[in-house]
Amino acid sequence: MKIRTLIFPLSIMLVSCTKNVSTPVIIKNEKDQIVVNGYVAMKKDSSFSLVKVSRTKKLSEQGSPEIIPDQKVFINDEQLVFDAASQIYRSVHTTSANSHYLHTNIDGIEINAEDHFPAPVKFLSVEYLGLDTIRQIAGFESEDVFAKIKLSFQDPVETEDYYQILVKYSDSLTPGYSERFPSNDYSIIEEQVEETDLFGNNIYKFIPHDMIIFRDHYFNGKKKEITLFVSRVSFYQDLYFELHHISKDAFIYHKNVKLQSLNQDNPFAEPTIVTGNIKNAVGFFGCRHIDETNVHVPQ
Amino acid sequence: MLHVDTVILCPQWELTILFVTCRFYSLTTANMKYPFFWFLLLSTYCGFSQNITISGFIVDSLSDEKLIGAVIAVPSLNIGTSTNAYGFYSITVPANENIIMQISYVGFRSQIRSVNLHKNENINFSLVSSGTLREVSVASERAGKIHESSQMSVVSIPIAQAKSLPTFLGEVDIMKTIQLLPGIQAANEGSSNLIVRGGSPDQNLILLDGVPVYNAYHLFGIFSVFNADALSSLEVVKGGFPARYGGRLSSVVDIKMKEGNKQKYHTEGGIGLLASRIMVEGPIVKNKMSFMISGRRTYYDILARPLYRSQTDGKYRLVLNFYDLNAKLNYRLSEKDHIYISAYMGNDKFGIKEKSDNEVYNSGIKWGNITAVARWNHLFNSKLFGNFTLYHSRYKFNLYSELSGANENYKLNYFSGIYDWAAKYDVDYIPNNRHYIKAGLGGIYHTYTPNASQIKGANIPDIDSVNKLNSIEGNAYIEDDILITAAWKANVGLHFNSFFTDSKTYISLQPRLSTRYILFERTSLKASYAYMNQYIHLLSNSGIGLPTDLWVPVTDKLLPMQAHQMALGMAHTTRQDVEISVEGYYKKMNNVLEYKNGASFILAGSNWQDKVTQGRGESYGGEFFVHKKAGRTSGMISYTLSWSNRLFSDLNNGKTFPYKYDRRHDFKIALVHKLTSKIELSCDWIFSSGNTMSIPTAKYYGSSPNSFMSVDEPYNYYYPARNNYRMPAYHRLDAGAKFTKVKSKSTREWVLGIYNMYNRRNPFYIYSEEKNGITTFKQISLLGFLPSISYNFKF
Repeated sequence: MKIRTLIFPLSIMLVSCTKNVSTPVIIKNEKDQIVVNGYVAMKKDSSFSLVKVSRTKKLSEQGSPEIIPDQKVFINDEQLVFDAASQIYRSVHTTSANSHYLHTNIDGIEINAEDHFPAPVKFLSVEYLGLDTIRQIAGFESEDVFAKIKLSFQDPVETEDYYQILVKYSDSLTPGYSERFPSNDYSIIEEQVEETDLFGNNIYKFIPHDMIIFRDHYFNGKKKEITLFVSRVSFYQDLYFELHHISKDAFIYHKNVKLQSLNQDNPFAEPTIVTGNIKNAVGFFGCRHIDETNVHVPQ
Repeated sequence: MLHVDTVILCPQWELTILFVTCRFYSLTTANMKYPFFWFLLLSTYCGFSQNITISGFIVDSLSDEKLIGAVIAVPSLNIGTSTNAYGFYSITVPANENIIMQISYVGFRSQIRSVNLHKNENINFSLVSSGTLREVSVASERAGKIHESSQMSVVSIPIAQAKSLPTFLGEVDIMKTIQLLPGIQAANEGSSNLIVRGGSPDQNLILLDGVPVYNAYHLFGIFSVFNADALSSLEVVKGGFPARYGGRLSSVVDIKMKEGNKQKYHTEGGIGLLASRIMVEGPIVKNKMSFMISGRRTYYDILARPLYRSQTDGKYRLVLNFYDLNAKLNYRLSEKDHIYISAYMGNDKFGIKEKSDNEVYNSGIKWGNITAVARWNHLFNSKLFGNFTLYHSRYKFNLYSELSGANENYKLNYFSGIYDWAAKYDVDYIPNNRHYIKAGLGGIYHTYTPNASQIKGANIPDIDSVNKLNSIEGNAYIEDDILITAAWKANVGLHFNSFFTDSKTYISLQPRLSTRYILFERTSLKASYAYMNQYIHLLSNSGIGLPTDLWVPVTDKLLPMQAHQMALGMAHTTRQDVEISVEGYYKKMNNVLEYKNGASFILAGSNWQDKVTQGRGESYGGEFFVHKKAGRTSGMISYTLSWSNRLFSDLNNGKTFPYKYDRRHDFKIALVHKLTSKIELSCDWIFSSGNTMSIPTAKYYGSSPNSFMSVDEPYNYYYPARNNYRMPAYHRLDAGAKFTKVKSKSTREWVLGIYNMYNRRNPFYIYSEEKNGITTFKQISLLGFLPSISYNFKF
C-alpha cells in the first residue's frame, strides 16, 4: 500500500476525536403523588401529633411541593386541626393508646398508616467534657472546634431498639428566649463507629445535618455511653439533647432519607430509594418516645 | 443361549459375557454332542466381535500445534469422536476390517485414511492448512457439527475469525467478539465486561489455559487482557454446563494459548494507534520442545506526555499505560508424556507525577493479574488420558500516594486482591464409542485481601495493616458423554463442591444434564439442565470493570449464589456448514448480590458485608443464532429476546424489579467478506435495548422531626421504583478493511477500522443537573466516530 492511500484515513483521524458528550434525556413524567408525613410523640406525660399533607413536585418544574390544606385527617378517632401558619395538621393531647392509626381521604383515595409506641427510654446522664479539635478523615479533611458531650442511657433487654439523637440549642444572645432551634446548619460527630477508613483507622462519621441514627446491635440490653462532638458552640450556651426511641420502620426510613441526602453528589454510591409505610401515598407515619436533657457549655 | 446381537452392540462387555455364557453352557451340558462345533462358533464370534482402539494426536502440519475439537469419523460405521483440549482422540473400531477414517477441522483440509488393524494402534494426524488465512478463507469439508453434539449453549469462535472482525482502535479484542453472541452483552458502552443470560459480570469464569483470570480488563474495561496473537482457541459456554466446570453461575469462557511452533520460528506482530504487540514462537528442540512468547504495551502516555506537559507547564506527568506478557513452553517427554508450562502477566497503571523544586509527589492506581500453570499430560493407554495441573492466579489492586521532599516524606499504600494456589487431576476415559467419561479432582487455596494498608512517614506511627481471609475449595466431578442410540446422545454429570471458610463450610452436589436427539438428517432437538454454585463474590456495581472491585468469599452471613438453568432448543447444520440454533432458557438464581440502598462501593473496605444484601434473580428468554465459521463470506447473526428480574426483601419495597442489565431486545450481525486474496472487508452492527437505572422523578417534603416545622425542610427525592428508567437504545455500526500482501517469506497487513460509523451518541451514564430549581437529566456518551489504523506483520 502506498503512503498516499493512507492520507484519507489519517486525515479523518485527525479531525475526529473522542470526547464526553452530554445530551438531555427525556424522563417520562409521573403523575403527582400524595405525600403524608407525620408522627405521634410522647414526651414525659404529654403527647402531640403532627401531620403534613402535600403533593410531590416534578423535578422538571420550579417551586416547592404543594401543601394540601383543609382535609379531614384523623389519628385514631381524633380529627387533627390544620394550622395555616405552619401548614401542618396538629393536635396536642394525652393518649394512653399504644397503637396509632392515621387515616384520611384525599382526591377520593383512602390513605392510612399504623405504628406502635416503643417502650420509653430515658437519658441516664449528660456530661460536658470540654472543647476538642477534631480532624475528620471521612468524606473530606477538615478541622474544627467541637464541644465534647458524653451521654448515657439504658437499652431495654431482649428487644431490637432503634434511636435518634437530636441536638437543639437556645440562642445565648437572646436571654430567656424559650424557642429551641434544631442544629440544622451545624454538625455533630459520633465517636463510636464501626467503620474504618482506607488505611484501617477508625473514622469519625461526619453528620452534616441534625441528628444521628443508630440501632442497639452492638449494645443490646446494656448501658450505652455515647460521646458526641457538637460544632460551633460559641454561638450558644445551652445544648439540648433529645433521645427518640423509634420503631424499626422509622429507623429504616430516616436512615434512607439521610443516605439519600449524603449521597446526592456521590457518583460511586447506589441511589437511595426511600420507602415509607403509608398505604396509597408516599411518606412515613410513626410513633416515638422522646426524652430530653440539656447541658450548659461555658463560653 | 448366546445373544450374538449384543456382542456387536457392546463389544467390550458382551465379549466377556459371551465367554462366561459359553463356559457355563459347557459345564452344565454334560452330554454335549458337538464340543468342537461350539469351540469353532465361539472362535468365530470372538473373531468377528474383536475391537481395537485407535488413538493419537491431531496437529497442525506447519507448527505441530495440537488441534482442539478436530473430528475423527468413520462414516461406514457411523461413528465419530473429537480431540480433547490437548488434541488427543480415541476411537474403537472392529479389528481386521478395512475402514476409512476421515479427519477434519475448520480451516484445514480434511484427511482420509484407510486402515486395517488387528491390534490397538497409535496414529497421529497432521492436517494441512487450507489457506494462508486458513480459518476464514476456505470452507472445510467437514467439521464438528452443532447438531451432533450433546452440548448446547456452547459456541466456539475461531481466533482468526475474531481477528477479521472490525477492531476497536486497531486492537483485536476477543471479549468484544464474544459480546456478538446471543445472550451475551457488554455491560456498558466500550466495556469488555460480559453479561450472560441476565447474570452479573462476576458470574463468568474466564479461564486462560485452565486458570481463572479475575480481572480480565485493561484501561477500566475498555480492552480485555487477552492478546489475540497468543491465543489458539476460544470456547464460550453459557448454559448446559458439563460437570467439569464449576464455581460460576452464568458462563465459562475457555481460552487456550498457543503452544509454540515445533517446526520453525515464526514472528507475528502489529503496530496500532494505542498499542503495539509482538509474538515469537519456535522450536527449542525440533519436534520435541517449543516456546511461544508475546507482549503488548500501550504508548498512550508516551504520546500524550508532551501535550499534557505543555498544558500543565511541565509540572505534571501523566502515567497511563498497560502491558501484558504471555509465555508458553511445551516439551514432549515421550510419546506418552507431555509437559506444558504457561504464564500470563499484565498490569495497568494510571496516575500523576508532580515535580516541583524541592519535592516529588506521585499518586495513582495500579492493578494487574499474574497466572502461571504447569501441566503434565500422560497417556496411560489408548483409552485413558490423564492431566495433572498446578496453577497460581493472582489479582492485585494498589492505590498509592507518595511524597518525597525536603520537608516531608510519606508513603501511603492501599491494596486489595485475591491469590489462588490450586492443583487438580483430570482424566479422559474412552472405553468405547458409546461412552466418553471425564473425571477430575481438585483443590484451590484462596487468599483474599479485601483491604490492606501501609503508611510510612506522614507524621504518624507507621501502619502496616493487612486484612486477609482464607478459604479452601475442593471439587470433584464425573461426566459421561453417552451415545444411547444413533439419534440420542446425552452428557450426564455430577459436580461436587466444598468450600471451607473460617466460620462456615458449604457443600454442594450439582447435577448436570445435556442431551440431543437427532430429528432429521441435520437437525437435532436439545435440552439441558445445570445446577451451579458460586462461592466468591465481586463487590462492584459499576459494570465498567473498575480495578477497585473486590473479590470476597462467602461467609456465614453471605451465602453462596446458586443457579438452576434449563434450556430447550434446536440445532441445524446446513450443507454449507452454517450452524443455526434456536434456544429458550430459564435461569433461577438464589442469593444473588445487590448493594443496599445508598451503599458506596468504592473502597468498600472491611465492612463490605454490611453494604450488600442477597435476594433472588430470574432470567428467561429466547436466542436465535446463525454462525458461519468458514468460507469466503463468514460471520454471525444473533437475536435475543430476554427478561431479567431481581427480588430482594429489603429493596424496592420487597417488589420485583428489572435487573440493571435487563435488555429486552438484542440484535447483532457481524460479517467478514474476502473480496480478493488481498482484500478483506468486515462490518458489525449492534442494536440493544438500553440498561435500566434508578432515576428520581419528583421531590417531596420529608419527615425529619428536627425540620418538620420548618418551611426550609430539605426535600426527599421520589423514585417510582428501583431501575424505573430505561436508557435510550444502544446501536452502533463498525466497519473494517484488511489489505494483505503475501511475500515470499512474510505477510503484511494494513487494517483500517471505523468504530461507530454513524456517530451514534450511546448512553454511558446519566446524571442530573439543577438550575433555577429545575432538575434536568443528561446522558454522557463516550465513544463517537472513531477511525483507526494498524499494521500487522508475520514472518
